[in-house]
Amino acid sequence: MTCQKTPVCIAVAIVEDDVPAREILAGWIRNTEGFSCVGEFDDAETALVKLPPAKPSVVLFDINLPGMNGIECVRKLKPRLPDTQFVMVTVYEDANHIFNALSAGASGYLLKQMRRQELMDALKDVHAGGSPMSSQIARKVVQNFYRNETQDAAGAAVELSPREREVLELLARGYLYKEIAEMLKISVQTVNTYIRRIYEKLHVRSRAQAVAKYAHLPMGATH
Amino acid sequence: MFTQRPERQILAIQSFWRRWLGAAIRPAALVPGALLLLGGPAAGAAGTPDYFPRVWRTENGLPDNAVTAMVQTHDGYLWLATYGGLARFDGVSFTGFNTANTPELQSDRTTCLFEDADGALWIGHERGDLTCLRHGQFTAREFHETGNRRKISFIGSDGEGDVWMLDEEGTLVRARDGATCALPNQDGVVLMAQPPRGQLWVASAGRLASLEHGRLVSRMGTNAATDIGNYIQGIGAGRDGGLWIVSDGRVRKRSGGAWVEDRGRNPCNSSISRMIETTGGTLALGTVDDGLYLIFPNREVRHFSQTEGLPHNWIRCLMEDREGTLWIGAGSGGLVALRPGKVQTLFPPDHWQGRVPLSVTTARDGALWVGTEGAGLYRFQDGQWTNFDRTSGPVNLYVWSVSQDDQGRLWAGTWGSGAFRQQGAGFVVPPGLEKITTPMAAVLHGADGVTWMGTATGLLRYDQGGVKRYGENEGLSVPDVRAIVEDRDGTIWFGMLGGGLGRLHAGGLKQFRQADGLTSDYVQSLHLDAGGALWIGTYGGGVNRFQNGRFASITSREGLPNNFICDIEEDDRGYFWMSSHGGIFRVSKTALEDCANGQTNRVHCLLYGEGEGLASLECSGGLQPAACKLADGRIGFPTARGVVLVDPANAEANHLAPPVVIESVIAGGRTLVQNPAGPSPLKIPPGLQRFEFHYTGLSFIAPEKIRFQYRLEGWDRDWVDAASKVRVAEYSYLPPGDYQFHVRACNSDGAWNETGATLALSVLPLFWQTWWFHALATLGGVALVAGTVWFIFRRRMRLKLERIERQQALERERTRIAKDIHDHLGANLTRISLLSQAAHGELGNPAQVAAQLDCIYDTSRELTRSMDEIVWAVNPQHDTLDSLASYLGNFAQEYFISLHLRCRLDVPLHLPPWPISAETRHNIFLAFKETLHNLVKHSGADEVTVSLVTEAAGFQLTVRDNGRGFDPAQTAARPGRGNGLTNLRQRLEKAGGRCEIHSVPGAGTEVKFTVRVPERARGVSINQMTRH
Repeated sequence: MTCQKTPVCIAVAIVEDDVPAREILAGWIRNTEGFSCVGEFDDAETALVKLPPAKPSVVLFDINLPGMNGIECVRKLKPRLPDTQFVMVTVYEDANHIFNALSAGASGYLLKQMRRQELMDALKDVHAGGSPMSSQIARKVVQNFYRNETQDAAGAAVELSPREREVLELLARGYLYKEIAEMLKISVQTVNTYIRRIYEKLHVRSRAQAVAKYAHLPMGATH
Repeated sequence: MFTQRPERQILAIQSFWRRWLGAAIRPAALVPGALLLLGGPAAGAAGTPDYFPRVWRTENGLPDNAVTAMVQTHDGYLWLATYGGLARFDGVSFTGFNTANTPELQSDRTTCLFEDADGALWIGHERGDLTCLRHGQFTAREFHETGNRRKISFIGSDGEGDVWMLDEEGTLVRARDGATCALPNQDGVVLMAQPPRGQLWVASAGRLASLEHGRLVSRMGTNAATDIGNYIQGIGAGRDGGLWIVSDGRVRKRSGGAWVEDRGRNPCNSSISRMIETTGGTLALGTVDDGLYLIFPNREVRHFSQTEGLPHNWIRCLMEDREGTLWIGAGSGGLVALRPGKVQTLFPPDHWQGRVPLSVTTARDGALWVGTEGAGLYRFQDGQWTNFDRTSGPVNLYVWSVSQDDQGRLWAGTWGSGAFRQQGAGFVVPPGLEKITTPMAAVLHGADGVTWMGTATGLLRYDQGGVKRYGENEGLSVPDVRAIVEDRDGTIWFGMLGGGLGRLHAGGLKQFRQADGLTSDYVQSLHLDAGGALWIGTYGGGVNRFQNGRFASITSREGLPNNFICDIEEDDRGYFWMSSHGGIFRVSKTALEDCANGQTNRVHCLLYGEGEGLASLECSGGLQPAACKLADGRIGFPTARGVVLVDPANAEANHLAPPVVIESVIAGGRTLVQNPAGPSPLKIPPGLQRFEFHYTGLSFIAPEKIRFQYRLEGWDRDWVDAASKVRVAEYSYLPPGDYQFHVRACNSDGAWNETGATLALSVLPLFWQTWWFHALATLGGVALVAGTVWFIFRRRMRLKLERIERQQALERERTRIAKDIHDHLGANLTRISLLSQAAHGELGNPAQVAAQLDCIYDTSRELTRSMDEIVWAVNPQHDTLDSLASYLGNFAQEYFISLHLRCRLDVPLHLPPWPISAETRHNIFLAFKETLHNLVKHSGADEVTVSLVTEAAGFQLTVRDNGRGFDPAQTAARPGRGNGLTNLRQRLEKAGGRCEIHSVPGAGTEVKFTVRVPERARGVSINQMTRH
């Protein structure tokens, strides 16, 4: 109903096992114009079944879920919901976890102790194509791309373009999006696009690496 | 279904033999039966033994099938001359000597052999050459060329020690000088004979001569009546010094110028090629075209030809070995050993019509009755066989059980038609038994006129036409009764195939099975001894004894040759005779009792197998009686190949222990010595590996049953039991030193050659195995050990110190975490609780409440960050330089962004995988944080650069600002600030580094941490790191 008033309506779903926290987040979303909450799920297993029919634009995903963790769940859901943005929600800023989530297909992350406004801004941002990336994550992404050559399903090498690499390296050195845009004479939106593209490549790499990893295992040794 | 299995197996085996016999009756199988019919004794009398041949041909390793001469040398080997060279035989394998491997052997076509008094072996060749083997060396003997190179037929020696050869035309040639003397001979066979301590005799073209001082003297006289005859057909050396002469159609022995023994008419239908007298006094006459004749001291004659199993009728040579085996070179048919068997095999002229005899019993008139599998009944009486077929005997030809009742009538239990009883000239079904058609494997005539019958469905009691059955309805399970005995008090014991043992006592039935102590539920034979003990033969479980209510067992584990016991008989000498699926064996009753009583765990059995004349090891069983005692004490057992008679009186074990010989020593793949002899130890060159001692035992009766034990003194602590056929002792490595290799053997009957053979050997040391090298090495070793001990001690001390240090570091770390949690978390949580209380109190003032809620929010957010720091600091996953750099960079960036300062990071993308401990990380982080605080507080900068560079031994972390800077000299004097710097230095020291601060007033400040990473940590590989 809040959507009826505004031309853009962002459908949000939440996967979070901490019920009070989830209800607060859901309340914020419901009570903000331009947002609707299309689903609240306790765990990854339920989300796997019920999320795709809800077709949310953005999903807030807790990393630490009982049973299957959030990262694994995103890895499974992303191919089925290619247009949905997954935003990971975490208590601690653990770079490894966040990087893994991004590789699995997430487009960003949020710390749990965010202010209401921060959450809403982040949701809008992500929906508009924004892709937050910290220097720490940028560092990890660069390292990952340098490590070894990976090919996608079609056999093409999944590598960064020189421009993407430039953006990433600047990010890793602590430059802000705004500063990068200035230095490279591009818009902040373009920086965001580069980052989004980098995330996609990371995702493709991650999948290809997973495939390569399992393909080299002998049959029957996979369990 | 299952209970039928053993029976089916028996049938399967029997039908196999039936087919086999029906399809092709091998001559060898017929030898004993044929002999018996030719001149053998009746079953009622003990006669001369059966002989049975065993043949070796090229496919068994014989160099050539034409064996021309044989000799058993003093060491026990059998040497064979063939047209393919010389062969040495130990009963198992042939060692060939030919011109290819022994050039001194002038030709492969060897024709005669002779061992002289000195132990030298003389070898004659077809082309007149002579070779001598002395002390393992072959030498070609030169003698004056006689001009005509004729085949050497015999070699012998005269009283003066000269060796003479007799050629095929009757010329004697002296090996020493080639001197000759001859009996003129146009045609005919030449023979040579040399009785012990006697002269050399030569027969040629019917004439006889003896060698006297190098000259042949004719022994043909003029007086035909008293003289040796007109034409000498054969001569052979007598054991006592006399000479056996075949002349004028008679076989006689002559000694001291007169005939001393007459063995009767010459039975041979062909020229005599060889003639010998055996140890038992039996004459063996080999012929050119009529096989072999044996003339026993009692003048009985046996003939062996191709019809009786010899491979050829031409007897080229004959010899008896020390164990009494006759060896024959038969034409081109190979080598034949002919041995008197310990058993006699009975065959009717029709050879059981190709069927298998199953059960035997003796009747009171001395007749032997045999029930067969498909050929009805046979009676053997006074040398006559009578077959009772469908017209004259039981209608059913499958006779599983034969017995005679107290009225002298014979009973037959059949497979499928029940019982038949002799009546007049034929057999009828006894009244009352007309409806019994189940297989009947046992019939026993009880003491009180009652007949007991064992059938597949239970035990039958038959009395005066009345039948009582004890079967499943009476409580028996699997009542397939195969054996019945009655003890003195009238108790009936019966064995069941599958149902164990049954007892019928005073009308009460009891069944004993495996659970009660039997080794098998398949009981197929029973024997009651005089002492009342019940002996139970089982199908697969050996023998059980039941005495005083308890079972005891004797199986192959205790030394029985076989666990399938077909029947048990007792002789008058204290022995049990048992037939089995592995032959017939004798075992002392006392030994069995001792074993059953637990006094010993070993019984020794005398086994009759193929070597003793059994044509088949498979005895008939699963029915009664499968054995019977004859009036003369012999015991008959039906086997798959006829009824075998054993004579307990003739069951002497072979006490001749086999000679043992060490044939060769092979080391490192090459033969070091052949036939080692002499007392001096064999010197073995240093450094060889894989030692093989080839030995053998020389008993030819049952070579495959010879048992060996060997022991290498100086290496083996005990005797090693060896397999019979391998005859090699192997050692992979022998350290230098002196050894003695001993080997001993025992023959098939357990006669041990305790002396055996011994070989001394000495393995020479390599230079590094010599004493002086050892002395040096020991000295060096001691020094090394001392050094090592010192080193280890030092290392241990160091490790211990390190461990203590680590322990302390860990404790410090834990203390710090506790302190952090207490200080940060505790204080902040307290603040939150106080704030929320305060907010509660201010509910009327919304602005105040909002401010306090904001404060709660900030505090909790701060709290989370502290937690994050603590978690980061303690999580071992972050113990890497990369994680440290990444975390510090992120921290700086977030810190400065909130304060609107630009922050630049200059950290290499790839850092070495050095581990940085939690404590070090924590200290660096705290120092870093303090540096950033100071920077913000004092510098007034708007841009900060955090950079990290790695060096060989560690890394440098630099925080540089573009602020106002300060003068370090002045600062040191100011107490407050100096304190902060001291703090930094202390933290860095704890982290194993140092802190330097460079600042110029107006040109910013640079704080540089230099941290050393220990070499040990730097050496940790990436793989180890990526495990996290």
